[in-house]
Amino acid sequence: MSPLRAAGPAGALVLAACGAPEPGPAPDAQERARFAAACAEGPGYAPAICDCLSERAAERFDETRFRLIRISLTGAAIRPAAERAGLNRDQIGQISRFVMENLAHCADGEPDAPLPFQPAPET
Amino acid sequence: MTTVSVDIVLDPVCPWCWLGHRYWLRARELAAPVLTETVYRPFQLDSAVPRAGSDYQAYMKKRIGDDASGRWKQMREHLETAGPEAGIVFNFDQIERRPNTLDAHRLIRWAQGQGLAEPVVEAVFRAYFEERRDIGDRAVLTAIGEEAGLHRDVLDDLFKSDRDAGEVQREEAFYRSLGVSAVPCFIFNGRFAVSGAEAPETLADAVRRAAAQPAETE
Repeated sequence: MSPLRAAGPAGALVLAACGAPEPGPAPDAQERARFAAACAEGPGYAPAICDCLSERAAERFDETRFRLIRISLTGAAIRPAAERAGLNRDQIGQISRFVMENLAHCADGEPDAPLPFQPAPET
Repeated sequence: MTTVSVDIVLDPVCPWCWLGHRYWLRARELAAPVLTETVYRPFQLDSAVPRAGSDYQAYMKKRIGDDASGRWKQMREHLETAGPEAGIVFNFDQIERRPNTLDAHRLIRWAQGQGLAEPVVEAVFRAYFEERRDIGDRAVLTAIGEEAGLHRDVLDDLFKSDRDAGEVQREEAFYRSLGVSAVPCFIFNGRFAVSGAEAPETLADAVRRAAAQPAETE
């Protein structure tokens, strides 16, 4: 099965799904700048790749999760901070896998977008 | 006539999944004459819940906190309005156990092999949200399966083992790897996804769109 493409009206999905964590505030410009720096200095990805990763992470995650991904780019462990933030095992795994899962897309400029983030509360 | 395969990724403790399933049953009619073949796929919203389950009210209190944003209240009001319109009763206040849903997914998997997935999925949702039964309890699941037409003795034997537990977990991991992070998620011909309990018309449109495109051959 190839990457999925969203076929529905993404804007209408906010409250109609279970599973995504309740979103906090979106990452601000300062946090996004830190992300770009960590991405370039840590794994040493090209600026275009870092921009792409940052954009996708910001679309999908709130500030807390975005910051955890930024920390993961430095090579530091995120589990303690993630657990303090109240994330469960699945949510931590989602964050841990984010860079790996999105790197190919960002490196290749693959046009198909994965499913949009669904900021709805878990039930 | 084209047949569109529809994978519905769901978790039986997700109220939007029940609503979405009802919408899907309607969408299937709207999409006629396009034929559809539905396959239910597992997703555990919280696989860390103990196999014996947790106290529902305490679990939800921990997850939601004081609902300062009002998000849960808003969601609940929406569900309690949309549910009855779809023939659904949500008894959130009376639910006692928040189950681990691995065994419920195993039951759905076995029912699928017998062509009974749809009634079993509906029965599991009803048992949890309307009848407040503990769908993490294997005896409850066995009774649900038997009521839907599965053999009690076979279910007893299967539940005595961990048969298919690994398969369910692997299947869930696969859908997570595709990007499914919220449920319900409807995947048409393995290519197009609609996430959330979208209106029947939206789902029917997705069926027609998938039917108009060549099916994936990989």
